[in-house]
Amino acid sequence: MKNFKVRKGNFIKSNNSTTNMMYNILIVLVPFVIFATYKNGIYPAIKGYGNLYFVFKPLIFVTISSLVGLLVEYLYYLIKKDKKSIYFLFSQSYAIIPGVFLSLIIPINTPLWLIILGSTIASLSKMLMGGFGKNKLNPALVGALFITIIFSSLTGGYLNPYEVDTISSATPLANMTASGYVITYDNLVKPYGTLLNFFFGNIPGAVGETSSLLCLVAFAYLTYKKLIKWRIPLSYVGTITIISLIICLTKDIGLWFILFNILSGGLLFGAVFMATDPVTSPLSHRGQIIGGIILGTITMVIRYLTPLPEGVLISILIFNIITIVINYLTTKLNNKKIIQNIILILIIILSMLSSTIIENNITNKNLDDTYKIISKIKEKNITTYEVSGRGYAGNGSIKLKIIFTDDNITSIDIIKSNETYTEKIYSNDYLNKIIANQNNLDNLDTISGCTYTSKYLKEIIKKTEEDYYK
Amino acid sequence: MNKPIHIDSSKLSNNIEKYIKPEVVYIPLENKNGITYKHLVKEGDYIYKGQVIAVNEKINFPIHSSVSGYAVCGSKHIISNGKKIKCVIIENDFKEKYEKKKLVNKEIASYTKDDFIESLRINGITGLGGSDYPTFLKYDSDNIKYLLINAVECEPFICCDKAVIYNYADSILETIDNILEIMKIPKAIIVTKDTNTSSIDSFNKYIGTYPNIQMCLVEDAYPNGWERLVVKNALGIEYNKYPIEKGIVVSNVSTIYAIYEMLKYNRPLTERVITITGPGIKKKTNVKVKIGALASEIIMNLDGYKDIQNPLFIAGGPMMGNSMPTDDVIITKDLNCILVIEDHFEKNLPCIKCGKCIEVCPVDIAPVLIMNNHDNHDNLKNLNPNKCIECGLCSYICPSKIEVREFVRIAKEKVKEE
Repeated sequence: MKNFKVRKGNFIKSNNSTTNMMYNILIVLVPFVIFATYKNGIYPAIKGYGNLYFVFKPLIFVTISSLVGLLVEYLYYLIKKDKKSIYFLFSQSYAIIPGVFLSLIIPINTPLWLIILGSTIASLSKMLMGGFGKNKLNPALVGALFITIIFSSLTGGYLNPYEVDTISSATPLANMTASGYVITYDNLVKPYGTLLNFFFGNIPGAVGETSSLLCLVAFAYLTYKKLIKWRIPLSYVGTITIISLIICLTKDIGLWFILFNILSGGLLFGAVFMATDPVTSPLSHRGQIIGGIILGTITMVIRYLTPLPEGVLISILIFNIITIVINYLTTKLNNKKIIQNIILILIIILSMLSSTIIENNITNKNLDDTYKIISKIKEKNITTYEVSGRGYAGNGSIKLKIIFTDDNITSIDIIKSNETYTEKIYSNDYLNKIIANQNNLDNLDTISGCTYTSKYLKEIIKKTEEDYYK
Repeated sequence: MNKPIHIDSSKLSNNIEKYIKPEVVYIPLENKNGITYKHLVKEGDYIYKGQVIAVNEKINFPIHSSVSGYAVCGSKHIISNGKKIKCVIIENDFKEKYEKKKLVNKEIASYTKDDFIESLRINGITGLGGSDYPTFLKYDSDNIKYLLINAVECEPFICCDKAVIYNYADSILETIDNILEIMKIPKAIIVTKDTNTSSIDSFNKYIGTYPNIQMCLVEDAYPNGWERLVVKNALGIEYNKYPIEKGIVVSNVSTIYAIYEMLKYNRPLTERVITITGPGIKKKTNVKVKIGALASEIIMNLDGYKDIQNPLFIAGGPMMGNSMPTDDVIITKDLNCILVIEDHFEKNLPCIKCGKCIEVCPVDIAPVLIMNNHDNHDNLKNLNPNKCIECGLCSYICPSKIEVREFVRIAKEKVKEE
């Protein structure tokens, strides 16, 4: 007879390991840091902008942010009189991971003290919710929320030195919000080149999240290795596509709009790395798909119905909270497939509803809001107006000088125009055509190839006439 | 339903060793499912081989002695579920003396259906795949349309069925054909793994002469040998509780071989083939043993143990088996494997809610949710832990090495108590 130790459980285990999963994801982030270094440091340096500091900035961000995370967790355990070794923090609490993610999703000009603060908040949020595995919110996003929303005025913006000089506007989504949601290719994509720039990541945005190409490669790798819940990014991006498509079809916008929505605002980075964080995302397959749909809907709602430009960060945090509900529902309704299907259908209907609300929001902007009389000078029978109004490129993009002589328009001058096709107005002699048809503007055709600009021009003239005859 | 999972394991040769001379045999008076037997012999009685020594009174199902000799004072011993059970103990006199035959050998052709079922009962044939369910109850049904032979043996390490097939494929096929004839079943399907080339070859040698017997190959993945999946893979049929609802009987291939010996020699089931393997065993092999022998005695006669760190002694396979405190474990009819393996126990990490256990669960329950709600009774009921077949895939797949199945087991008990 021989005695043996007794153990409950099964006796062979798969090669899956949580530690491997976590550090594999970190390794996948290395190309992102390299890209961030190239985009924010090396490329501007080649073009003669920035300095050596900018080349190392992304690396400094990652290092500081992750070290702060490590320190905070170490101190947290120390204060709780439950001292843990550094090895424990690396191998069982994964203390550096929130910091690394955080450093990649904040603006490049964030001051270092703000990163330290953000990383502290990120790690604290994780520890206060019970530590690794128990946190309900993605710690990196909590930290980023503090930096980019609450301290947004202190971050110093998303543009690196090269972009500051070459691209005057901010990130694509901030630009869209600032220009009053005019959904045109010229307004949204042109300032940044083509959609290819969006794809390769050559657009203003957070430190390491702009390259959609890298995100797609990472997604393929992580899915192949079974390291992430791949259903979430798929249903997330799918929902964005469907909502954008509905907007495209109903409002006669080109299909480029779908790509614009997917490729901007760090959406793919969020979808692949943030929304799939195992701890804070739904457990079941069905829950993951439903979660992705909700996530996509919230992102679009935030982008187009609220003044906040970047919707990904907040929507994933909301999604983290909804995950609790989704998991709870799975608990309650396990195998009652009918009820789950009803919920699924409800969600689809909701997302369609919200997409219609969004498109109304986009196009029902009244021109009255933007028409402005800058000056009106009356001398005998001559009245000189200086007005500005909405153009194709946004609010106040057209500024005109209009002269009335004896109750008739005798001269129109374009003082300023942000329009792309201003020269077409001249080449078509459109201003003189307006003068000729001033009493019958409705019958004057617009110029094909610059429909909107000519249309907006007529609107401004009409408003000025109304004012004159008042 | 989730896809089964392939698990690598070492393969043994198809050779079957014999160790059929145990010094003492132990007949436990309760089986692993908790069904009790009433003993019919007392201390000091001389017991013949094949004599009924205990009976399950509810269904009048006997257990036989596997040796001849005197019964000695009973004590408690461990069986495959880890419980200590009172036993009838017989000291082997190695004479293999049979009681005077009451039944003469009967021609197989003269068996009627009732004879056959009665014979299954009095010879104590049970499912040798591990269920320990009396076989006569399974066959006691009219209108059986299919006889499925489960030769999948999907749990890693276990290969006794494979060895039985390799050595006795012709007898097995003959028996299947006899059963079809006696029971008036139109068709039999042998289900086996597609990687099990030796079994496929063995069957293919003889199967041509039996037009009613077919083969069906399934992927080498766990838990494809689960009855429900065998039926689903072979026939595409799903059933509610038992396959007999749809006119299907599933028998393990080793059970069929036991039926062969029963039909041929009219003798009760007293021996079985068991796999003894694992890194902690010197001579890994399949071995034919007496029911009631002690595992320790068999292993000592097979060159004993190898020195490994933290050895665990497991009755059953690595997925569903139980870890035993000692190697004095009684070989019962349901025990198909003894495994001595290193304790791979790793300190478990916090659950990261990756959902992998939900992904692999063959019965579509959510082990992680059951684990997280283990103290919330209402939630537990909604999560259906009672559906769990304890296959252990959730514990196998868990990246944090949490013994998820144990939580589900406890929940199962809790829900059952109501």
